[in-house]
Amino acid sequence: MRLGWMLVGLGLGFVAPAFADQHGDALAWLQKMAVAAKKLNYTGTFTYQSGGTSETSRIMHVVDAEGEQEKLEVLDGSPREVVRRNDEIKCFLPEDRIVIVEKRGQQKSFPALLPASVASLGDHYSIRKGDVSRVAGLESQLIVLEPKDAYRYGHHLWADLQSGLILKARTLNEHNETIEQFVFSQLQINGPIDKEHLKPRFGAEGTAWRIHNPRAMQSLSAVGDWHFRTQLPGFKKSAGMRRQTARGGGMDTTHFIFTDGLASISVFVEPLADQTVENGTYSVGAINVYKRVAGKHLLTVLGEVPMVTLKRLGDGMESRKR
Amino acid sequence: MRQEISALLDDELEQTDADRAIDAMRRDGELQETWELYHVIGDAMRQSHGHSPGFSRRVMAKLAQEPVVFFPSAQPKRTTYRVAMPLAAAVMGMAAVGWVALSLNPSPQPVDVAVKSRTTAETAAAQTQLVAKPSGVLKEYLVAHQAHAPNGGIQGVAPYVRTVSEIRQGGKP
Repeated sequence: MRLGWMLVGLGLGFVAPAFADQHGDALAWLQKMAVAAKKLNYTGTFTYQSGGTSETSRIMHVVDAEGEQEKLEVLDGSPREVVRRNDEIKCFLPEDRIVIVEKRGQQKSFPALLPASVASLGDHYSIRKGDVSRVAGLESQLIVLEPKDAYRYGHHLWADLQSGLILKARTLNEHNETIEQFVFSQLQINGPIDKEHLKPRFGAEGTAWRIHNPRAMQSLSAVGDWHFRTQLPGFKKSAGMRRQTARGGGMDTTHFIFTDGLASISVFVEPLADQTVENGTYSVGAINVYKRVAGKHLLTVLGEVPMVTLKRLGDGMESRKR
Repeated sequence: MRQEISALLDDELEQTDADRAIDAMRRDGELQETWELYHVIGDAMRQSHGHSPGFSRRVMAKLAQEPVVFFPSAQPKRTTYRVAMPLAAAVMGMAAVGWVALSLNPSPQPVDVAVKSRTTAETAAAQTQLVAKPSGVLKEYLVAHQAHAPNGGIQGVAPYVRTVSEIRQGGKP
């Protein structure tokens, strides 16, 4: 994240006059959090809560000459694991006997992906520092991101005063109700970590596991096939990709990504064969999902934004091909 | 178009797309500036090995002294100049915490409701297959979203915490 980091520096420079100190300070904290998460070695246990459910997981993160590695294991329920090695992520879902593999591939953090500027971030969120309080035995600084309209959620982030690592994160809806929260209960920063523990406990090679490893690549032509009639304030298209259909066919699925600089929305467009599909909505933590049929295609619009945002975007889509 | 320009900068555009991008820049002064800005930023990035925590402060100090360096012809209306500022990308550095993101609930049943196989000549087996697939597809999409979204991390660590991820039908308001 070296590049993004420096760009934060540059960006702050560019827009500095536009911000009050408070705001600038809060942005600097966001930057500190980003760097901390990327650069520090740590292990910890955290609890995730959403919609009345809560689950405890263990995470470890190691940075060394080989790059970044991390592992997340869910301690409650079925022993799901997420293992990341630099740009490759593997999700082990033992109950389904499935491994989902996803690679960021040729994507670059810069300049291929250009989310919003700091200035436009301030257009859609008010960002300020909150109180200092104690989380997981550490003093933490609260940073509040409040949306200025109904198209995005609010975020409260508590960062370790010393390292900047996020200790607690909360996502809030328009009624200021918490819809998702994560909080470390125990955390060790820069302690010794046995790299053996970073390996997944499951051997993905086992015959009983199915491996889903769809290919994805940037595509400019894909972007042209669909027209987005409705503009969401502050959200910009940041990528267009072709990806292998989830059923393992050709590169028939298109994946668009929109971002307002904080929240992001993915739009997946897949061709419908013979099956009929009904429109529907779902949610996973703070992520909402909206499915809509558009002619011979199924649109799946999802992101950590309110449903109204997804519907507005999805309902405004039309195919340029007739 | 900015995305095309950045791709052009990286020599990642097909010829026809490249021609179009160059053509667009020729006509649009603002795009030209974007092109130049990307070079400036690219240069800045390449030269700065071993950046230090004081980097942004130094840049800001420098900018304060020479405010015109990056904006030789800046006019007030350009305050909307969309500087390529991946704050999100940076915060997403949280990647660590960020996009390792989610794992999913082993049994997201409600999703199945969304898809019904056509009643015509489909066999029961085919139906089962159709019904079984979507949840898997949605999981894949969720992972892809987390992995590719430029800002997965600002949710704080939330994304990767979506381990519980009970997929509920209906969603939130």
